[in-house]
Amino acid sequence: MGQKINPIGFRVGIIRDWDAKWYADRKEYVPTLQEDLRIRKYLEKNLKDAAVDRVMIERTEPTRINLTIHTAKPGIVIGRGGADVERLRSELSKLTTPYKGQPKRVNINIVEIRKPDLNAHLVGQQIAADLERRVAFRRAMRGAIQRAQRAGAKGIRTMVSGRLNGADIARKEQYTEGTVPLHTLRADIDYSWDEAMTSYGNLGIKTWIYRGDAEHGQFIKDEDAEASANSRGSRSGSRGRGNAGGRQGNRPRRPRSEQSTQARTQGGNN
Amino acid sequence: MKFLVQQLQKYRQSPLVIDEQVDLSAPAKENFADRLLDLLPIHVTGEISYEKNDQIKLDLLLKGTAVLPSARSFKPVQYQFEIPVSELYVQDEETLDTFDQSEQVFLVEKNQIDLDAIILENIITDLPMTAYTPEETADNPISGDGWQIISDENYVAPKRDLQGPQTQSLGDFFPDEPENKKDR
Repeated sequence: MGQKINPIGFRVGIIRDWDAKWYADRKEYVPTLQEDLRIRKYLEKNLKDAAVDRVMIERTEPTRINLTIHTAKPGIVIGRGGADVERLRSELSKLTTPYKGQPKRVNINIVEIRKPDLNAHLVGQQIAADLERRVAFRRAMRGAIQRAQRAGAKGIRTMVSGRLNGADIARKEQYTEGTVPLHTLRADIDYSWDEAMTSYGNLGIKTWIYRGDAEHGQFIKDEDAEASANSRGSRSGSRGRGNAGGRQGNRPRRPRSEQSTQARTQGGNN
Repeated sequence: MKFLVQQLQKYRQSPLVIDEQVDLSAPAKENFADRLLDLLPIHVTGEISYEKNDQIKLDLLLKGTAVLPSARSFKPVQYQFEIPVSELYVQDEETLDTFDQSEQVFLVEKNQIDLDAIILENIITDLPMTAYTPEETADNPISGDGWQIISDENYVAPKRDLQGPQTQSLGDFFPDEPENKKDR
């Protein structure tokens, strides 16, 4: 069988940014990385119903951690009147190790995903939730594909594997709509692997969503995917993304030369 | 609404026409409480036909309103849907295997077609993941002490400070970079 690279890892540093952005020298690297892992594990456990896609951790100062949580349901993260997010902040501060006796301050940015149907992890989670409630897997997959297409995806592929419908022999089934050019590095393909725990055992769900192409030398962001999807109807036949609607002026995009410098200065961090 | 296969066999010549109001609020709230707050009665129109090779074909149109929780505030949001359903049911697995994976073909279970379950599953898989009240669709930034909500359209990734104290000494390791040459 052909060996397949993870589409996310394949594109990191080319069209996709890192999930952790910080530098630490030799002594501080291991405890800082462990702190990152503790934070991610805590968030994964405590925000599992909040439709969280990505958590980005940035450290610009030794005593400050900037967390960016990309979620489709910010209401669950913030809670009534922001009570839950305040609690989350204080709990996360407790997970951090003080820097030279000074406690670290955790700042939380919650980024609302307005089109969750273009997000592979959220689509995969939705299929998993459906399967766990005994919805027929073909219906669950078709529903996800239709929603992604309505949201403006250029292509989507979903694969479910395991004991489908409780069959004795495990197998896999996959649906594809549109194109999913995995070998094209500039193609903004979101990928996710999720798991559904059913009474017959676990089912694996793989989701690939092709959202459009990134501009040469620039990182993609969530809103790029949406802008691309929104403008697709009005710009039939056009494959470019970035300059549509004159939005590029607002984006903090970096030229290729700057990226390569940054990649080197961050070497070994992520 | 449940139909035994034997009941449907008499619709070989002309299909069974359906035009009914179905209330699936109770099972929807019981099984999918996190996805919807309520499901108002659904108007189901269409037909069920008994085809050759003992296959049963469903062509339905589901019209109704679901009450979804807002993704931001949990306030109820009315979502109107109109879902066409076109599915084929076969009696045995051998016949099922002859169809392409991408076709909406299912196996008849317990010798009956449970229309309520089919309708509910089709509605649930079609519902959007998030819904917003009209006030929330306008961008109203919400923030508190040390946290804020940003729409992904307005999110600007913070620019990295390459000249910060942590990375300042790295210039010595990359003498070829034009920026570092300037510093010298």
